[in-house]
Amino acid sequence: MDYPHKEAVVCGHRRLSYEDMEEASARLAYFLISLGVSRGDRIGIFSNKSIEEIIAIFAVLKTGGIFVHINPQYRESQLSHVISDCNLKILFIDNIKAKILEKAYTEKVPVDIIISLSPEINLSWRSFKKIYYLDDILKESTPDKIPCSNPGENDTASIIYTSGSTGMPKGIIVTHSIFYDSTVASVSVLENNFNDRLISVTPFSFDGALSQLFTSFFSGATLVLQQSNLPGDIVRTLLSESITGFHAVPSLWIMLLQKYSPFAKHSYPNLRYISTIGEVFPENYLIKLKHILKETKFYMMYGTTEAFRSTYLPPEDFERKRPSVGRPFPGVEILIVDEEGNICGPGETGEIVHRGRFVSPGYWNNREKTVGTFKGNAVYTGDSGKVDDEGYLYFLGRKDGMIKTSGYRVSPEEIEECIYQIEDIKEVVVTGIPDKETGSKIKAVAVCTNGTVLAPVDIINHCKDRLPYYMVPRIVEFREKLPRTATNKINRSAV
Amino acid sequence: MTIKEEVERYILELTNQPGLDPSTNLFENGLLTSLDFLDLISFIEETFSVTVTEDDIGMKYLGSVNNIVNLVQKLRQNNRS
Repeated sequence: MDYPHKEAVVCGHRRLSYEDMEEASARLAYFLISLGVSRGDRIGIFSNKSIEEIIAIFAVLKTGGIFVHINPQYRESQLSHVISDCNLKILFIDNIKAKILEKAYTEKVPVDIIISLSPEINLSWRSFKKIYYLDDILKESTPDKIPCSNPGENDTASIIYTSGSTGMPKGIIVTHSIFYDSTVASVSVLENNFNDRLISVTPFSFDGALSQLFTSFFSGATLVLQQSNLPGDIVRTLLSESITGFHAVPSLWIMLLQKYSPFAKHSYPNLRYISTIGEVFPENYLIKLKHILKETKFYMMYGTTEAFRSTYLPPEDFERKRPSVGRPFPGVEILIVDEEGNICGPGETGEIVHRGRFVSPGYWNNREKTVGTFKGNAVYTGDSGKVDDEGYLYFLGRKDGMIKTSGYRVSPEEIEECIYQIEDIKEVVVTGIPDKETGSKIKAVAVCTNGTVLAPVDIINHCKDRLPYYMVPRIVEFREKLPRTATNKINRSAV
Repeated sequence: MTIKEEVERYILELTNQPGLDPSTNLFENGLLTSLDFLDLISFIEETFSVTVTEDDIGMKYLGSVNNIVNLVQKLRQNNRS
Protein backbone atom coordinates (compact mmCIF):
# COMPACT_ATOMS: atom_id res chain seq x y z
CA MET A 1 0.00 0.00 0.00
CA ASP A 2 1.54 3.25 -1.19
CA TYR A 3 0.63 5.42 1.78
CA PRO A 4 2.70 8.52 0.91
CA HIS A 5 0.79 9.06 -2.31
CA LYS A 6 -2.58 7.95 -1.00
CA GLU A 7 -5.29 10.60 -0.71
CA ALA A 8 -5.39 11.76 2.92
CA VAL A 9 -7.98 14.53 2.53
CA VAL A 10 -10.41 15.51 -0.22
CA CYS A 11 -12.36 18.78 -0.40
CA GLY A 12 -14.38 19.41 -3.53
CA HIS A 13 -11.94 19.01 -6.41
CA ARG A 14 -8.86 19.35 -4.20
CA ARG A 15 -6.99 16.29 -3.01
CA LEU A 16 -4.00 16.18 -0.66
CA SER A 17 -1.85 13.08 -0.24
CA TYR A 18 -0.39 11.87 3.06
CA GLU A 19 3.04 12.98 1.89
CA ASP A 20 1.80 16.47 1.05
CA MET A 21 -0.11 16.71 4.32
CA GLU A 22 2.98 15.69 6.28
CA GLU A 23 5.15 18.21 4.44
CA ALA A 24 2.65 21.06 4.79
CA SER A 25 2.06 20.49 8.50
CA ALA A 26 5.80 20.14 9.13
CA ARG A 27 6.54 23.43 7.33
CA LEU A 28 3.81 25.18 9.26
CA ALA A 29 5.03 23.67 12.55
CA TYR A 30 8.54 24.95 11.85
CA PHE A 31 7.14 28.40 11.13
CA LEU A 32 5.09 28.41 14.36
CA ILE A 33 8.18 27.47 16.36
CA SER A 34 10.13 30.29 14.68
CA LEU A 35 7.40 32.66 15.96
CA GLY A 36 8.11 31.45 19.47
CA VAL A 37 5.32 28.87 19.87
CA SER A 38 6.22 26.43 22.60
CA ARG A 39 4.66 23.63 24.60
CA GLY A 40 1.32 24.52 26.11
CA ASP A 41 0.67 27.64 23.99
CA ARG A 42 -2.94 27.92 22.84
CA ILE A 43 -3.51 28.38 19.10
CA GLY A 44 -7.01 29.05 17.80
CA ILE A 45 -8.59 27.93 14.53
CA PHE A 46 -11.75 29.73 13.34
CA SER A 47 -12.70 28.60 9.87
CA ASN A 48 -15.29 26.91 7.70
CA LYS A 49 -14.45 23.32 6.81
CA SER A 50 -11.27 23.17 4.77
CA ILE A 51 -8.07 21.26 4.10
CA GLU A 52 -6.15 24.23 5.53
CA GLU A 53 -7.60 23.85 9.02
CA ILE A 54 -6.47 20.21 9.12
CA ILE A 55 -2.93 21.29 8.19
CA ALA A 56 -3.16 23.79 11.08
CA ILE A 57 -4.38 21.15 13.58
CA PHE A 58 -1.49 18.77 12.82
CA ALA A 59 1.05 21.60 12.75
CA VAL A 60 0.03 22.78 16.23
CA LEU A 61 0.22 19.23 17.57
CA LYS A 62 3.74 18.90 16.15
CA THR A 63 4.86 21.97 18.12
CA GLY A 64 3.52 20.66 21.45
CA GLY A 65 1.02 23.52 21.44
CA ILE A 66 -2.68 23.22 22.20
CA PHE A 67 -5.14 23.67 19.33
CA VAL A 68 -8.47 25.31 20.07
CA HIS A 69 -10.87 24.71 17.21
CA ILE A 70 -13.58 27.35 17.55
CA ASN A 71 -17.11 26.48 16.47
CA PRO A 72 -17.59 28.22 13.08
CA GLN A 73 -21.17 28.98 14.11
CA TYR A 74 -19.98 31.20 16.97
CA ARG A 75 -20.85 34.87 16.79
CA GLU A 76 -18.85 37.79 18.18
CA SER A 77 -19.45 37.33 21.91
CA GLN A 78 -18.72 33.58 21.97
CA LEU A 79 -15.60 34.14 19.84
CA SER A 80 -14.24 36.88 22.09
CA HIS A 81 -14.96 34.77 25.17
CA VAL A 82 -12.89 31.85 23.81
CA ILE A 83 -10.02 34.12 22.74
CA SER A 84 -9.71 35.67 26.21
CA ASP A 85 -10.64 32.58 28.26
CA CYS A 86 -7.75 30.52 26.95
CA ASN A 87 -5.50 33.45 26.08
CA LEU A 88 -4.75 32.53 22.46
CA LYS A 89 -1.27 33.30 21.24
CA ILE A 90 -2.09 32.89 17.54
CA LEU A 91 -5.35 32.68 15.61
CA PHE A 92 -5.76 30.87 12.29
CA ILE A 93 -8.74 32.34 10.44
CA ASP A 94 -10.33 32.29 6.98
CA ASN A 95 -11.70 35.27 5.07
CA ILE A 96 -15.32 34.50 5.93
CA LYS A 97 -14.81 34.22 9.68
CA ALA A 98 -12.66 37.36 9.61
CA LYS A 99 -15.92 39.33 9.42
CA ILE A 100 -16.99 37.95 12.81
CA LEU A 101 -13.56 38.71 14.30
CA GLU A 102 -13.70 42.26 13.02
CA LYS A 103 -17.19 42.82 14.48
CA ALA A 104 -16.05 41.42 17.83
CA TYR A 105 -13.09 43.78 18.14
CA THR A 106 -13.66 47.12 16.45
CA GLU A 107 -10.61 48.81 18.01
CA LYS A 108 -8.33 46.50 19.91
CA VAL A 109 -6.67 43.57 18.15
CA PRO A 110 -7.45 40.47 20.23
CA VAL A 111 -4.43 38.31 19.43
CA ASP A 112 -0.91 39.32 18.50
CA ILE A 113 -0.59 37.06 15.50
CA ILE A 114 -3.16 36.19 12.86
CA ILE A 115 -2.51 33.56 10.21
CA SER A 116 -4.88 33.66 7.27
CA LEU A 117 -5.97 30.30 5.89
CA SER A 118 -7.35 32.08 2.81
CA PRO A 119 -5.17 33.61 0.08
CA GLU A 120 -6.66 37.03 0.88
CA ILE A 121 -8.30 38.44 3.96
CA ASN A 122 -10.04 41.66 4.84
CA LEU A 123 -9.02 42.93 8.28
CA SER A 124 -8.95 46.65 8.68
CA TRP A 125 -7.32 47.26 12.05
CA ARG A 126 -5.01 50.21 12.00
CA SER A 127 -2.37 48.52 14.04
CA PHE A 128 -1.71 44.85 14.53
CA LYS A 129 1.44 42.94 15.15
CA LYS A 130 1.30 40.86 11.98
CA ILE A 131 -0.89 38.95 9.59
CA TYR A 132 0.74 35.97 7.90
CA TYR A 133 -0.64 33.92 5.03
CA LEU A 134 -0.59 30.13 4.99
CA ASP A 135 0.06 30.13 1.23
CA ASP A 136 3.30 32.09 1.75
CA ILE A 137 4.38 29.97 4.71
CA LEU A 138 3.99 26.74 2.74
CA LYS A 139 6.18 28.06 -0.10
CA GLU A 140 9.13 28.55 2.27
CA SER A 141 11.84 25.92 2.27
CA THR A 142 11.96 23.63 5.26
CA PRO A 143 15.14 22.57 7.04
CA ASP A 144 15.89 18.84 7.01
CA LYS A 145 15.18 18.40 10.66
CA ILE A 146 12.04 19.76 12.29
CA PRO A 147 12.36 20.24 16.03
CA CYS A 148 9.90 17.82 17.63
CA SER A 149 8.47 18.60 21.01
CA ASN A 150 7.48 15.02 22.03
CA PRO A 151 4.54 15.91 24.27
CA GLY A 152 3.76 13.71 27.28
CA GLU A 153 0.59 11.61 27.15
CA ASN A 154 -1.02 13.71 29.89
CA ASP A 155 -0.15 17.00 28.21
CA THR A 156 -3.09 18.97 26.86
CA ALA A 157 -3.53 18.57 23.10
CA SER A 158 -6.71 20.57 22.66
CA ILE A 159 -9.42 22.57 24.41
CA ILE A 160 -12.94 21.95 23.12
CA TYR A 161 -15.58 24.53 24.04
CA THR A 162 -19.17 23.56 24.79
CA SER A 163 -22.14 25.34 26.35
CA GLY A 164 -22.52 25.15 30.10
CA SER A 165 -25.61 25.44 32.26
CA THR A 166 -24.83 29.07 33.10
CA GLY A 167 -22.95 31.78 31.28
CA MET A 168 -20.45 31.38 28.49
CA PRO A 169 -19.07 28.17 26.92
CA LYS A 170 -16.57 26.17 28.95
CA GLY A 171 -13.37 24.67 27.57
CA ILE A 172 -12.88 20.94 28.04
CA ILE A 173 -9.26 19.84 28.29
CA VAL A 174 -8.40 16.92 26.01
CA THR A 175 -5.02 15.26 26.51
CA HIS A 176 -2.84 13.44 23.99
CA SER A 177 -3.64 10.12 25.66
CA ILE A 178 -7.39 10.71 25.40
CA PHE A 179 -7.08 11.38 21.66
CA TYR A 180 -4.75 8.41 21.12
CA ASP A 181 -6.60 5.86 23.26
CA SER A 182 -10.04 6.81 21.90
CA THR A 183 -8.70 6.67 18.34
CA VAL A 184 -7.34 3.16 18.84
CA ALA A 185 -10.60 2.09 20.48
CA SER A 186 -12.77 3.60 17.72
CA VAL A 187 -10.69 2.09 14.92
CA SER A 188 -11.05 -1.31 16.56
CA VAL A 189 -14.82 -1.02 16.98
CA LEU A 190 -15.54 0.51 13.56
CA GLU A 191 -12.94 -1.71 11.83
CA ASN A 192 -11.48 1.34 10.07
CA ASN A 193 -8.83 0.47 7.49
CA PHE A 194 -6.92 2.00 4.57
CA ASN A 195 -9.78 1.22 2.16
CA ASP A 196 -12.16 3.50 4.05
CA ARG A 197 -13.38 6.77 2.57
CA LEU A 198 -15.02 8.70 5.41
CA ILE A 199 -17.24 11.76 4.97
CA SER A 200 -16.75 14.57 7.47
CA VAL A 201 -19.88 16.70 7.89
CA THR A 202 -19.62 18.31 11.31
CA PRO A 203 -17.18 21.07 12.31
CA PHE A 204 -13.90 20.02 13.98
CA SER A 205 -15.09 21.81 17.11
CA PHE A 206 -17.21 18.67 17.70
CA ASP A 207 -15.27 15.87 19.42
CA GLY A 208 -16.91 13.36 17.01
CA ALA A 209 -15.43 15.11 13.98
CA LEU A 210 -11.97 15.24 15.58
CA SER A 211 -12.25 11.58 16.51
CA GLN A 212 -13.09 10.78 12.88
CA LEU A 213 -10.16 12.89 11.62
CA PHE A 214 -7.71 10.97 13.81
CA THR A 215 -9.20 7.54 13.10
CA SER A 216 -9.02 8.26 9.37
CA PHE A 217 -5.34 9.24 9.55
CA PHE A 218 -4.50 6.41 11.95
CA SER A 219 -5.91 3.86 9.49
CA GLY A 220 -4.44 5.43 6.36
CA ALA A 221 -7.99 6.05 5.10
CA THR A 222 -9.26 9.02 3.05
CA LEU A 223 -11.25 11.80 4.71
CA VAL A 224 -13.72 13.62 2.44
CA LEU A 225 -14.67 17.07 3.75
CA GLN A 226 -18.32 18.00 3.19
CA GLN A 227 -18.75 21.78 3.15
CA SER A 228 -22.46 21.95 2.29
CA ASN A 229 -24.98 20.26 4.60
CA LEU A 230 -27.81 20.50 2.06
CA PRO A 231 -29.14 16.98 1.46
CA GLY A 232 -28.64 17.02 -2.33
CA ASP A 233 -24.97 17.92 -1.88
CA ILE A 234 -24.40 15.25 0.77
CA VAL A 235 -25.96 12.57 -1.43
CA ARG A 236 -23.82 13.64 -4.41
CA THR A 237 -20.68 13.22 -2.27
CA LEU A 238 -21.77 9.84 -0.89
CA LEU A 239 -22.13 8.56 -4.45
CA SER A 240 -19.28 10.30 -6.29
CA GLU A 241 -16.67 9.66 -3.57
CA SER A 242 -17.85 6.09 -2.82
CA ILE A 243 -18.10 6.86 0.89
CA THR A 244 -17.65 3.84 3.15
CA GLY A 245 -18.29 5.42 6.57
CA PHE A 246 -20.61 8.23 7.71
CA HIS A 247 -20.82 9.60 11.25
CA ALA A 248 -23.54 12.13 12.08
CA VAL A 249 -25.87 13.25 14.86
CA PRO A 250 -29.49 12.02 14.65
CA SER A 251 -30.86 15.41 13.52
CA LEU A 252 -28.64 15.26 10.42
CA TRP A 253 -29.89 11.75 9.58
CA ILE A 254 -33.45 12.95 10.08
CA MET A 255 -32.84 15.89 7.73
CA LEU A 256 -31.66 13.40 5.09
CA LEU A 257 -34.97 11.55 5.47
CA GLN A 258 -37.17 14.63 4.92
CA LYS A 259 -39.16 15.63 1.86
CA TYR A 260 -36.89 17.21 -0.80
CA SER A 261 -33.99 15.02 0.17
CA PRO A 262 -32.85 12.63 -2.55
CA PHE A 263 -31.29 10.32 0.04
CA ALA A 264 -34.02 7.63 -0.05
CA LYS A 265 -34.07 7.29 -3.82
CA HIS A 266 -30.49 6.02 -4.11
CA SER A 267 -28.65 2.97 -2.87
CA TYR A 268 -25.20 3.10 -1.26
CA PRO A 269 -23.46 -0.23 -1.85
CA ASN A 270 -20.11 1.21 -0.67
CA LEU A 271 -21.46 2.52 2.62
CA ARG A 272 -19.99 -0.08 4.95
CA TYR A 273 -21.13 1.60 8.17
CA ILE A 274 -22.86 4.58 9.72
CA SER A 275 -22.49 5.76 13.28
CA THR A 276 -24.54 8.14 15.34
CA ILE A 277 -24.12 9.88 18.69
CA GLY A 278 -25.15 12.89 20.69
CA GLU A 279 -28.95 12.81 20.77
CA VAL A 280 -31.86 10.49 21.29
CA PHE A 281 -32.69 8.93 17.89
CA PRO A 282 -36.50 8.66 17.44
CA GLU A 283 -37.26 5.03 16.69
CA ASN A 284 -39.49 5.58 13.65
CA TYR A 285 -36.70 7.50 11.88
CA LEU A 286 -34.13 4.90 12.88
CA ILE A 287 -36.24 2.15 11.33
CA LYS A 288 -36.79 4.23 8.18
CA LEU A 289 -33.03 4.77 7.87
CA LYS A 290 -32.30 1.06 8.33
CA HIS A 291 -34.81 0.26 5.63
CA ILE A 292 -32.86 2.42 3.13
CA LEU A 293 -29.45 1.16 4.33
CA LYS A 294 -30.22 -2.56 4.65
CA GLU A 295 -26.65 -3.81 4.08
CA THR A 296 -24.95 -1.05 6.09
CA LYS A 297 -23.77 -1.71 9.65
CA PHE A 298 -25.25 0.67 12.23
CA TYR A 299 -23.16 1.71 15.24
CA MET A 300 -25.23 3.53 17.85
CA MET A 301 -22.98 5.35 20.27
CA TYR A 302 -23.03 7.52 23.37
CA GLY A 303 -20.42 9.88 24.71
CA THR A 304 -19.83 13.35 26.08
CA THR A 305 -16.95 15.70 25.27
CA GLU A 306 -15.97 15.50 28.97
CA ALA A 307 -15.41 11.75 28.61
CA PHE A 308 -14.92 11.43 24.87
CA ARG A 309 -16.28 7.92 24.16
CA SER A 310 -18.53 6.01 26.53
CA THR A 311 -20.55 3.25 24.86
CA TYR A 312 -21.25 1.62 21.51
CA LEU A 313 -23.84 -0.85 20.26
CA PRO A 314 -22.26 -3.52 18.01
CA PRO A 315 -24.17 -3.89 14.71
CA GLU A 316 -24.99 -7.51 15.50
CA ASP A 317 -26.96 -6.28 18.55
CA PHE A 318 -28.81 -3.53 16.64
CA GLU A 319 -32.06 -5.38 15.89
CA ARG A 320 -32.21 -6.99 19.31
CA LYS A 321 -31.30 -3.99 21.45
CA ARG A 322 -32.19 -0.75 19.62
CA PRO A 323 -32.63 2.03 20.68
CA SER A 324 -29.91 1.16 23.21
CA VAL A 325 -26.60 3.01 22.78
CA GLY A 326 -24.75 -0.12 23.80
CA ARG A 327 -22.18 -1.24 26.29
CA PRO A 328 -19.07 0.54 27.60
CA PHE A 329 -15.82 0.68 25.65
CA PRO A 330 -13.07 -1.45 27.22
CA GLY A 331 -11.70 0.38 30.27
CA VAL A 332 -14.91 2.35 30.79
CA GLU A 333 -17.53 1.79 33.46
CA ILE A 334 -21.07 3.22 33.18
CA LEU A 335 -23.12 3.76 36.32
CA ILE A 336 -26.60 5.16 36.80
CA VAL A 337 -26.94 7.17 40.00
CA ASP A 338 -29.96 8.70 41.71
CA GLU A 339 -30.32 12.18 43.25
CA GLU A 340 -28.60 11.02 46.45
CA GLY A 341 -25.68 9.51 44.58
CA ASN A 342 -26.74 5.89 45.12
CA ILE A 343 -26.21 3.43 42.28
CA CYS A 344 -29.47 2.50 40.54
CA GLY A 345 -30.44 -1.03 39.64
CA PRO A 346 -31.34 -2.29 36.14
CA GLY A 347 -34.32 -0.49 34.68
CA GLU A 348 -34.12 2.49 37.06
CA THR A 349 -33.65 5.93 35.56
CA GLY A 350 -30.95 8.21 36.92
CA GLU A 351 -27.90 10.23 35.92
CA ILE A 352 -25.34 8.59 33.61
CA VAL A 353 -21.87 8.51 35.16
CA HIS A 354 -18.78 7.53 33.13
CA ARG A 355 -15.82 6.20 35.05
CA GLY A 356 -12.39 5.11 33.78
CA ARG A 357 -10.67 5.84 30.49
CA PHE A 358 -11.10 8.95 28.30
CA VAL A 359 -12.00 11.25 31.21
CA SER A 360 -10.86 14.85 30.76
CA PRO A 361 -8.71 16.41 33.52
CA GLY A 362 -11.38 19.13 33.74
CA TYR A 363 -12.50 22.49 32.38
CA TRP A 364 -9.93 25.06 31.36
CA ASN A 365 -9.73 27.99 33.73
CA ASN A 366 -12.86 26.94 35.63
CA ARG A 367 -12.15 25.10 38.84
CA GLU A 368 -15.69 25.58 40.17
CA LYS A 369 -17.37 23.84 37.22
CA THR A 370 -14.67 21.15 37.19
CA VAL A 371 -15.35 20.20 40.79
CA GLY A 372 -19.09 19.97 40.06
CA THR A 373 -18.81 17.60 37.09
CA PHE A 374 -15.62 15.61 37.66
CA LYS A 375 -15.24 13.45 40.76
CA GLY A 376 -12.07 11.35 40.85
CA ASN A 377 -11.87 9.76 37.41
CA ALA A 378 -15.63 9.92 36.95
CA VAL A 379 -17.75 12.33 34.92
CA TYR A 380 -21.26 13.15 36.09
CA THR A 381 -22.68 13.75 32.62
CA GLY A 382 -25.96 15.49 33.44
CA ASP A 383 -27.61 13.03 31.03
CA SER A 384 -30.50 10.83 32.03
CA GLY A 385 -30.44 7.10 31.29
CA LYS A 386 -30.88 3.54 32.46
CA VAL A 387 -29.22 0.19 31.93
CA ASP A 388 -30.95 -3.13 31.35
CA ASP A 389 -30.09 -6.40 33.05
CA GLU A 390 -27.43 -7.15 30.40
CA GLY A 391 -25.70 -3.82 31.06
CA TYR A 392 -26.87 -2.11 27.86
CA LEU A 393 -27.34 1.65 28.24
CA TYR A 394 -30.41 3.60 27.11
CA PHE A 395 -29.93 7.36 26.74
CA LEU A 396 -33.06 9.31 27.69
CA GLY A 397 -32.02 12.96 27.29
CA ARG A 398 -30.74 15.76 29.53
CA LYS A 399 -31.29 15.62 33.27
CA ASP A 400 -30.65 19.31 33.87
CA GLY A 401 -32.24 22.20 32.05
CA MET A 402 -29.84 22.03 29.12
CA ILE A 403 -31.48 21.68 25.72
CA LYS A 404 -30.22 19.30 23.04
CA THR A 405 -30.85 20.61 19.55
CA SER A 406 -29.26 19.75 16.18
CA GLY A 407 -26.60 17.82 18.08
CA TYR A 408 -25.57 20.79 20.23
CA ARG A 409 -25.93 21.14 24.00
CA VAL A 410 -27.51 24.52 24.55
CA SER A 411 -27.92 26.57 27.68
CA PRO A 412 -31.32 28.26 28.11
CA GLU A 413 -29.66 30.79 30.41
CA GLU A 414 -27.22 31.85 27.70
CA ILE A 415 -30.11 32.56 25.33
CA GLU A 416 -32.03 34.40 28.06
CA GLU A 417 -28.95 36.56 28.76
CA CYS A 418 -28.93 37.55 25.13
CA ILE A 419 -32.65 38.39 25.05
CA TYR A 420 -32.33 40.44 28.27
CA GLN A 421 -30.11 42.82 26.29
CA ILE A 422 -33.29 44.07 24.58
CA GLU A 423 -34.32 47.11 26.58
CA ASP A 424 -38.05 46.45 26.51
CA ILE A 425 -37.81 42.92 27.88
CA LYS A 426 -38.79 42.67 31.53
CA GLU A 427 -38.53 38.89 31.93
CA VAL A 428 -37.88 35.93 29.67
CA VAL A 429 -37.60 32.18 30.01
CA VAL A 430 -36.30 29.83 27.33
CA THR A 431 -37.27 26.17 27.03
CA GLY A 432 -36.95 23.35 24.53
CA ILE A 433 -40.06 21.95 22.85
CA PRO A 434 -39.56 18.32 21.73
CA ASP A 435 -39.12 18.29 17.98
CA LYS A 436 -38.77 15.17 15.89
CA GLU A 437 -36.35 16.69 13.40
CA THR A 438 -33.91 18.58 15.59
CA GLY A 439 -34.43 17.07 19.04
CA SER A 440 -35.74 20.33 20.47
CA LYS A 441 -37.11 23.60 19.12
CA ILE A 442 -36.09 26.63 21.16
CA LYS A 443 -39.02 28.57 22.60
CA ALA A 444 -38.83 31.93 24.33
CA VAL A 445 -41.63 33.19 26.55
CA ALA A 446 -41.24 36.87 27.35
CA VAL A 447 -42.84 39.66 29.33
CA CYS A 448 -42.34 43.19 28.03
CA THR A 449 -41.84 46.22 30.21
CA ASN A 450 -45.03 48.17 30.98
CA GLY A 451 -46.48 49.91 27.98
CA THR A 452 -44.20 48.37 25.35
CA VAL A 453 -45.14 45.91 22.66
CA LEU A 454 -42.67 43.75 20.78
CA ALA A 455 -43.12 41.28 17.93
CA PRO A 456 -41.56 37.79 17.83
CA VAL A 457 -39.38 38.89 14.92
CA ASP A 458 -37.75 41.54 17.17
CA ILE A 459 -36.47 38.83 19.51
CA ILE A 460 -35.59 36.42 16.70
CA ASN A 461 -33.59 39.00 14.74
CA HIS A 462 -31.82 40.20 17.89
CA CYS A 463 -30.73 36.62 18.60
CA LYS A 464 -29.77 35.89 14.98
CA ASP A 465 -27.26 38.74 15.13
CA ARG A 466 -25.68 37.52 18.34
CA LEU A 467 -26.01 33.75 18.71
CA PRO A 468 -25.14 30.61 16.73
CA TYR A 469 -28.09 29.59 14.54
CA TYR A 470 -29.04 26.58 16.66
CA MET A 471 -29.58 28.86 19.69
CA VAL A 472 -32.04 31.20 17.96
CA PRO A 473 -35.65 30.76 19.22
CA ARG A 474 -37.98 29.33 16.57
CA ILE A 475 -41.07 30.07 18.68
CA VAL A 476 -41.67 33.28 20.62
CA GLU A 477 -44.63 33.94 22.90
CA PHE A 478 -45.49 37.05 24.91
CA ARG A 479 -47.36 36.94 28.21
CA GLU A 480 -48.48 39.36 30.93
CA LYS A 481 -46.52 37.42 33.54
CA LEU A 482 -44.58 34.18 34.01
CA PRO A 483 -45.63 31.33 36.35
CA ARG A 484 -43.74 31.26 39.63
CA THR A 485 -42.85 28.65 42.24
CA ALA A 486 -43.59 28.87 45.96
CA THR A 487 -40.26 30.63 46.47
CA ASN A 488 -41.11 33.13 43.73
CA LYS A 489 -38.60 31.74 41.21
CA ILE A 490 -39.69 31.46 37.60
CA ASN A 491 -41.27 28.04 37.23
CA ARG A 492 -39.61 26.75 34.05
CA SER A 493 -41.51 23.52 33.85
CA ALA A 494 -44.85 25.34 34.05
CA VAL A 495 -44.02 27.56 31.08
CA MET B 1 -41.48 42.75 -8.82
CA THR B 2 -38.81 40.88 -10.75
CA ILE B 3 -37.73 37.41 -9.66
CA LYS B 4 -34.56 38.89 -8.19
CA GLU B 5 -36.45 41.54 -6.23
CA GLU B 6 -38.83 38.94 -4.77
CA VAL B 7 -35.94 36.70 -3.75
CA GLU B 8 -33.98 39.59 -2.25
CA ARG B 9 -37.00 40.70 -0.25
CA TYR B 10 -37.50 37.20 1.15
CA ILE B 11 -33.80 36.73 1.98
CA LEU B 12 -33.76 40.11 3.73
CA GLU B 13 -36.72 39.03 5.85
CA LEU B 14 -35.02 35.74 6.72
CA THR B 15 -31.53 37.07 7.40
CA ASN B 16 -32.12 40.66 8.51
CA GLN B 17 -29.05 41.70 6.48
CA PRO B 18 -29.70 44.68 4.20
CA GLY B 19 -27.36 45.44 1.28
CA LEU B 20 -26.30 41.81 0.77
CA ASP B 21 -24.29 41.05 -2.37
CA PRO B 22 -26.45 38.71 -4.49
CA SER B 23 -23.45 36.42 -5.07
CA THR B 24 -22.68 36.01 -1.33
CA ASN B 25 -22.87 32.38 -0.26
CA LEU B 26 -25.64 32.54 2.35
CA PHE B 27 -24.78 29.20 3.97
CA GLU B 28 -21.01 29.66 4.12
CA ASN B 29 -21.56 32.98 5.84
CA GLY B 30 -23.94 31.49 8.40
CA LEU B 31 -26.86 33.64 7.20
CA LEU B 32 -28.90 30.57 6.30
CA THR B 33 -28.52 27.09 7.68
CA SER B 34 -29.80 23.67 6.76
CA LEU B 35 -32.67 24.39 9.17
CA ASP B 36 -33.91 27.12 6.80
CA PHE B 37 -33.92 25.23 3.52
CA LEU B 38 -37.46 23.81 3.85
CA ASP B 39 -38.86 27.33 4.35
CA LEU B 40 -36.82 28.48 1.36
CA ILE B 41 -38.27 25.70 -0.84
CA SER B 42 -41.84 26.57 0.23
CA PHE B 43 -41.20 30.22 -0.60
CA ILE B 44 -39.83 29.34 -4.07
CA GLU B 45 -42.68 26.96 -4.91
CA GLU B 46 -45.49 29.19 -3.64
CA THR B 47 -44.20 32.51 -4.93
CA PHE B 48 -43.20 31.38 -8.40
CA SER B 49 -45.63 28.45 -8.94
CA VAL B 50 -42.86 25.98 -9.71
CA THR B 51 -42.00 22.55 -8.35
CA VAL B 52 -38.59 22.08 -6.76
CA THR B 53 -37.15 18.58 -7.14
CA GLU B 54 -34.76 16.76 -4.82
CA ASP B 55 -31.94 17.18 -7.33
CA ASP B 56 -32.19 20.96 -6.93
CA ILE B 57 -31.40 20.85 -3.21
CA GLY B 58 -27.81 21.94 -3.25
CA MET B 59 -25.53 24.99 -3.10
CA LYS B 60 -25.56 25.24 -6.88
CA TYR B 61 -29.23 26.26 -6.82
CA LEU B 62 -29.80 27.59 -3.31
CA GLY B 63 -26.45 28.98 -2.17
CA SER B 64 -26.94 32.66 -3.04
CA VAL B 65 -29.60 35.10 -4.29
CA ASN B 66 -28.20 34.73 -7.83
CA ASN B 67 -28.30 30.93 -7.59
CA ILE B 68 -31.93 30.99 -6.39
CA VAL B 69 -32.90 33.33 -9.25
CA ASN B 70 -31.23 30.93 -11.74
CA LEU B 71 -33.13 28.03 -10.21
CA VAL B 72 -36.48 29.78 -10.59
CA GLN B 73 -35.70 30.62 -14.21
CA LYS B 74 -34.65 27.01 -14.88
CA LEU B 75 -37.81 25.61 -13.28
CA ARG B 76 -40.06 28.00 -15.20
CA GLN B 77 -38.33 26.92 -18.40
CA ASN B 78 -38.98 23.26 -17.48
CA ASN B 79 -42.65 24.07 -16.88
CA ARG B 80 -43.01 25.51 -20.37
CA SER B 81 -41.35 22.58 -22.16
